[in-house]
Amino acid sequence: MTAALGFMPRLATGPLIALMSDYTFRTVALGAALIGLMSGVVGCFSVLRREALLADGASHAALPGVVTAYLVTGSRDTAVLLAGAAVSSVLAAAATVLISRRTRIKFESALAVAMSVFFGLGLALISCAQHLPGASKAGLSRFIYGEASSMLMRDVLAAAVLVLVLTAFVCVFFRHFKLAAFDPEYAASAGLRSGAAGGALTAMTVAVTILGIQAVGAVLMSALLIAPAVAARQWTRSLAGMTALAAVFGAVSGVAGTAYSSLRDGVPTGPAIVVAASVIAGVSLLAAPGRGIAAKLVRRRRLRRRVLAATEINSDTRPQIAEAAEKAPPGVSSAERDIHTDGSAAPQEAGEDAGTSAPEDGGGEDNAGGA
Amino acid sequence: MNTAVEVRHLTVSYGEKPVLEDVSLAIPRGSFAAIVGPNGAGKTTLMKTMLGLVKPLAGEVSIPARGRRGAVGYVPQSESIDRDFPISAYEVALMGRYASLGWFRRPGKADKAAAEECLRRVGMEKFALRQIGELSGGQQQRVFLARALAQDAEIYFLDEPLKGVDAVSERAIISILRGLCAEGRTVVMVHHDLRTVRDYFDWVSIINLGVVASGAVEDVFCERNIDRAYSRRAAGAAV
Repeated sequence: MTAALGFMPRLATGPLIALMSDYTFRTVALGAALIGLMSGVVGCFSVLRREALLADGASHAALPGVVTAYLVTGSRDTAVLLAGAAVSSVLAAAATVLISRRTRIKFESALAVAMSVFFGLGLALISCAQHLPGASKAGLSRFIYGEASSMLMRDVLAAAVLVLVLTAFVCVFFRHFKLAAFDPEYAASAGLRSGAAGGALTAMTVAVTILGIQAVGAVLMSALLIAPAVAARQWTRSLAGMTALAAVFGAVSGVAGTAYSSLRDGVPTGPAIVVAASVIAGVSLLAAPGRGIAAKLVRRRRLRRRVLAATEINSDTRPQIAEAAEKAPPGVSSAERDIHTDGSAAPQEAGEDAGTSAPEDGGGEDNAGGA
Repeated sequence: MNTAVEVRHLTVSYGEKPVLEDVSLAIPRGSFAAIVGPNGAGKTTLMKTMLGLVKPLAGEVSIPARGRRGAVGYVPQSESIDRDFPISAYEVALMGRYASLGWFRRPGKADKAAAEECLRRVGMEKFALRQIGELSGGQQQRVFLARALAQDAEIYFLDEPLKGVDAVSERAIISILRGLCAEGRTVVMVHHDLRTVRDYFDWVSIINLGVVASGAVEDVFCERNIDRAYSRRAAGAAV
């Protein structure tokens, strides 16, 4: 057992160190980190504006554009292929909006239809294109599950420039984006064109999605937008904190996923990155203080123990309690009545706990006083 | 009459059926005006159309004050916001300053002081750092009122600010709104409690699809008009 444990680190760190000093890996990891970072930032706004689904649609719909761009131009250049991706994403979005405005079909259903039609078309086109001479070398299938190692230094530099520009943009207009996400109607009423801010946010979501499909793939790109934002929300109380944290989570997921898929042959980067992001999100949902599931359970148990203890102490005054319960107003549920009628200690202690979560107007607390 | 807001022949519809039909009314400057009517009468829609948030099928809205950015203040219904949004009461109040700052200027010391002062006016200064979702309905309403106050608007629109609000908050809100009217500003408010119309307001528009009556409270707020507004719906429901 101990021998095996002592053996493990050597097995794991050896290749990892070799990997870190590898030029290709560093390039690719930097690219994935940049994409993760930007996804985290933009994803916060998508999640808060309930637009996460839109990112999913945009990434799936990008696929036929990639293939068409290759078929038309014959180019394997990432920039050309991503331009095609952008065109088909925008077409799918336009179709979605048109369907939801002109028919009775709801936005989500229209999006689901557009998304699956475009994605299906993309898959069909890829299998057709594979039969063409030289097409298999173009590596079109990497856009389905993502292949970070196909990123060249040039691609990474382009991503870096885009990330820099978008980050500056978000910093300058941060408060307007916050307002547009929080209360767009108020912004419009005050004469601030919230449509412009909202439109910019949507455009950024689509831009980051397209940028990410080379490394993460069309299928899973939206997860990289959503998971870091959901995780970050658990740990912070401000939008600025949430955005910064999501950027870090996204970048870490990008590097971790790329490293894992480089060490294990045959694991595409997209799934590896998304699994890394999901682990962070899972831990955050479980263990974050305050909002986490564990913290909520602990709080509830503590409250329950206090209530039970208070009931125990006063058990010899039961008859009077029953009497008091009779007098309690009909609006108070029987569970609440039990707490409040058990003397003075319980309401005080319970109140302490309630104060940390949400303030409730504690009417009815004094009903028991007469008992 | 020096009007603060006027609508002419307004018809609004979301689908086939109109929500508002040929609505024409005017509200004088400096008045404390209520928009009342039964559920589904189109009160919120009328307010949103006045604010330019809903595009009318026909007709027009004129608000002379609208020239300056931030001259129109709005307190939306508290259900319309995401309670889980990571934002504090103070940040919400500070948003009231954004309109006058425009796109590029950042909030300065004066803006921050103004936001704090407005929270104090609505009695929420102790809750400045609370998350919006941790506040009760009445407290949230007061924070949104603070945001509108920080905006220093000339005309205020409030959509049922007293809904689900405790008595203390209600008194605080009404006394602040009266203060605004005393300064010559106009307050237009969607209201649901007919019993308090006489006590609070000096102007009232009773609507139900169309305008039933609109004018000074002592002139138009009578049994006959209220019956007409509230029984038309009953008749509609029977059909």
